[in-house]
Amino acid sequence: MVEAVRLEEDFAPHVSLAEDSWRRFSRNPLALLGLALVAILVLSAIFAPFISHADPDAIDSALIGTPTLPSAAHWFGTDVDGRDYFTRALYGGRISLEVGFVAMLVAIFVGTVYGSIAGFYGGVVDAALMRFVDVMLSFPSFFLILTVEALTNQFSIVVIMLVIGLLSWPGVSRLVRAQILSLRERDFVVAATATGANDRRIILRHLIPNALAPVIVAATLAIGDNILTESGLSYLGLGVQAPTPSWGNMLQKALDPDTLSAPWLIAIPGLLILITVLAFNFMGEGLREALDPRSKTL
Amino acid sequence: MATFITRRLLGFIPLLLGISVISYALIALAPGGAAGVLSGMSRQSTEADRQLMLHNLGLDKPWYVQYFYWLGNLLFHHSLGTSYIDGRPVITKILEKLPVTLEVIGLSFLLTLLIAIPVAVIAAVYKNTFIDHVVTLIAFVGYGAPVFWVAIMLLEFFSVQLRWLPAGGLADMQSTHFDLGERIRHLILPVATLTIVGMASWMRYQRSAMIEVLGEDYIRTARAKGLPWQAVVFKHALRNALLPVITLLGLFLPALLTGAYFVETIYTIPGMGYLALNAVFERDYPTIMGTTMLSAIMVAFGNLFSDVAYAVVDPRIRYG
Repeated sequence: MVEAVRLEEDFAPHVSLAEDSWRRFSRNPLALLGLALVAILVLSAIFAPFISHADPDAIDSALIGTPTLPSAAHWFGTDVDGRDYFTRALYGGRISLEVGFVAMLVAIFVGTVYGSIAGFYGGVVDAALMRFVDVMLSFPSFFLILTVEALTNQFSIVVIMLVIGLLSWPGVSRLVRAQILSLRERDFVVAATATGANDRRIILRHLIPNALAPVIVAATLAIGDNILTESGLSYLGLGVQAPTPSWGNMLQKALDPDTLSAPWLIAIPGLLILITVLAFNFMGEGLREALDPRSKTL
Repeated sequence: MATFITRRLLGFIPLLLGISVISYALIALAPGGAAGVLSGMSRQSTEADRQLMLHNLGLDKPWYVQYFYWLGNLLFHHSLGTSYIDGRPVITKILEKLPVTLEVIGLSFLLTLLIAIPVAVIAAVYKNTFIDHVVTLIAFVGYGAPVFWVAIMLLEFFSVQLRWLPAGGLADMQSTHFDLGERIRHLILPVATLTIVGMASWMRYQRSAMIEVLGEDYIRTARAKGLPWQAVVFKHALRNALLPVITLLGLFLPALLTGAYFVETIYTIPGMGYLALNAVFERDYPTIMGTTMLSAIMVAFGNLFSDVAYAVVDPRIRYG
């Protein structure tokens, strides 16, 4: 017994991959800032009704017509319809985060399945599948999303999530494919094949888990991008529809000639989008360095 | 090199075909399709009128049949069809609107490079100093800010509050009244918007490329043999640091185009974005198809340019 203890002391303490990654992540101030901001945003979206007791659509008839400046009663002031801007920003953030997150899940799911199939089978299958990806990546994605959304002419949140998600997976598939291609030839995969594992098992059990690190990073960055896309659509009137607030349609509303004299109505939603996008970017870049120390941040 | 370029150009033909098939399919298959085109018809129109209208537009056939008509029309008659709205050829409409968009994009791209490269070099040379932190902060803000918000903020500040610059109304290039001063005044805000947003990513990439090069042995050698610092930074380091950034050109174009679309909408500039967006709202299928194809082709050319430029500047790269 005594000797066994001594032997263990000779080794470095066991550090799991998660612990090791967290240690690198927590040493990066920007990554921690990103994580903290994301946490605040997510918590305020979840607990919106407890943070502001006002109804985002409630109209104070005394304040209709002229926007009011931020005050103790209305932290972000009120908009031209006499609605509390802070509450609208809070609920708008809820929608933006929901859309960003679900669209990301859709894109990651489709992209991972597609990229794994292309990478694993290679050859003709790979060539055919990736030509399609090349074509999809030639479209400026925002314009494609906008066109499909406008022609579909349905602006429920579910449709917006699906359109963004289903048109933004090609980048993910290219990433996953590259990972799978490099993993496919490794010894542990050869060993798995030798023990009689079928394709499904090799892809799901061996390849995808090992390709996960860059996918997690891409997923984090995608949430930020999706929020940017959603706000652009909503700004053009092709996204979340009034009266449901979203940061994009709040900006559209603020550009009304009646409110051009109220710069804070324009500044606030834009700053919130900016902060959110940066938060997800800081976190994503931090994750990249933490999960794969060899990778370089460009 | 010539073989490489030829091969890439040949590979372009299937890519263009792919782009056109996918554009056509996405536009035709989007739910709500043809019914929307008819929404402009009067309520008195009978079912027979509707069918006739669909038939005249060729919309009663399956999308892949329509696609071959469209392709045949393009190949044999060099036509992208006529607009549903005003009956004018789509190509004419696009050629009218393209110059002003290229003007805005080109100017802002030039300005982006003129500002971003020197600033990034300074930030890299003075890495982790106050200057570097300020540059990084500005780059982050430009990166995360939605382009339409930047446009609105500039408009609000310089046109609405200060009344220094016009809020819109840039005439197209064919306009008979050509006043250079007026034109510049109208272009300042749109170009500034795209430059602020574009600069951000360019500075980030250029800075990290530069930092990496400055750490190389040949830079130390150049310094050690007594070359002045400026010569080392600009001749030895910058040349090598521009290399990885050239690949950005292709990646940069989609963002620039998307930005131009927003900027044109906000500053009411009669360009491609304006045309494309109106076509989408009016369900003018031939025009949507034309503008979608054109933007995809521009992006594809951007990628091709990046690949070729990369091979030209770096003799180590040989595409066998």
